[in-house]
Amino acid sequence: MPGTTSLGLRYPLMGETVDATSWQNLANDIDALMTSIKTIRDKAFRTPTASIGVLGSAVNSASTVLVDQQFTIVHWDTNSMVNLGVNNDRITVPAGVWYVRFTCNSYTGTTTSTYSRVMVRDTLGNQWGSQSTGSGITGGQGFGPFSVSTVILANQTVGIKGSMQWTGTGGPAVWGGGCELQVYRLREAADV
Amino acid sequence: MDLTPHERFPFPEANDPGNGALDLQILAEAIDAKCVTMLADLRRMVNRPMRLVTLNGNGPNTIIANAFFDMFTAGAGQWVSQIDTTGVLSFDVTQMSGMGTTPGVYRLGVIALTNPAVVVTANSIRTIRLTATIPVSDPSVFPAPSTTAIKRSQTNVYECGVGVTDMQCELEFATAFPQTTVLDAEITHANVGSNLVLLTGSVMYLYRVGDVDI
Repeated sequence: MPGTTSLGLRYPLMGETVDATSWQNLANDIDALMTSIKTIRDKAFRTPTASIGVLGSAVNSASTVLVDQQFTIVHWDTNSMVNLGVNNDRITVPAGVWYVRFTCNSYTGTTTSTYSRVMVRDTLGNQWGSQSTGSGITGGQGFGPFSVSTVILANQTVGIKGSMQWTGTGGPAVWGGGCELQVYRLREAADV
Repeated sequence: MDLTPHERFPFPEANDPGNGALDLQILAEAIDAKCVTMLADLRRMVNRPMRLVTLNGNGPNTIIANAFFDMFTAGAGQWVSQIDTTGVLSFDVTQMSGMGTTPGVYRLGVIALTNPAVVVTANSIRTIRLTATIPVSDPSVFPAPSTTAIKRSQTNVYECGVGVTDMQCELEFATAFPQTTVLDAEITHANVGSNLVLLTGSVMYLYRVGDVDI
């Protein structure tokens, strides 16, 4: 029994008896083909995405130390990538190339602030993008909001984190609500 | 032999002589051809052309003040390719020629971490600038025109006495014709006290967002 030119869908040779098996073979091949098309279609049109945020404020007491934001709310999660009860500082993504954005609201509570920074990094220790601002501010005025967006290559399942840092005196720095970490997948790590 | 109304799949009519094997073969080949086209379209969408490079070590101390400087030169010898779907990466994410010349919408992004080599000039500006020089005339017209358009995006950050400054800039642009768009990612600064160094952790990326028409 030969198959079609490109995909090998089976059909009977001319002269062969066309019986139930002939139909079953072709139907099974079409069935498998439809399943593979659905898999690729889902990758094209159902991109995994998640967004987590903070209700209330976040405190970073130590000047110059880069700390991971602790999140309290899931805005959306289409691929079961968030479990704040276990790890409240990350979105755990499967392999792929991901667009990531981390935004932090302004902070107050410091005596002086000379520098502030937000960063996207992963649980493997890779740093994927950061944005900073600096100015001599006194009297506890706030910095921000801040935002950084970047592209991440994940060759394996990895946690994506949003981190923040301030430099100055006084404190602790109290970051207002509205901090958010968002991801969506741009493509697979390898061609499909 | 008749055809289905939408996808034109063949089937025997009532008065056809009836050759079951041949009828099945023709139907199977028609399904095959339709599905090959469908899979190709889906894969073109899923396998988005992309380049991503990261700086895995500090660049040379070569970024002089008050002059735009190429980002790849600023990180010479330290750029590492993370993904290059085109397979022809010449360590220049900013040349779209390697991405193919398929018309579409593209995004170029740069994250630059910088620090003065020696002396910090407090409150001095640092700038990254992205430029796309896009052919905007139809190459099939004779005589061949050569009109281009410039799309540009820029980010400025002031140093605050700490030294290390992180900057981000993105540029989205559309190409209408299958010609090479030339991209430039540049950095400049006013830290006259000493040259600037591009630091490990800097990132550049370029990818196709989607079709420019549907």
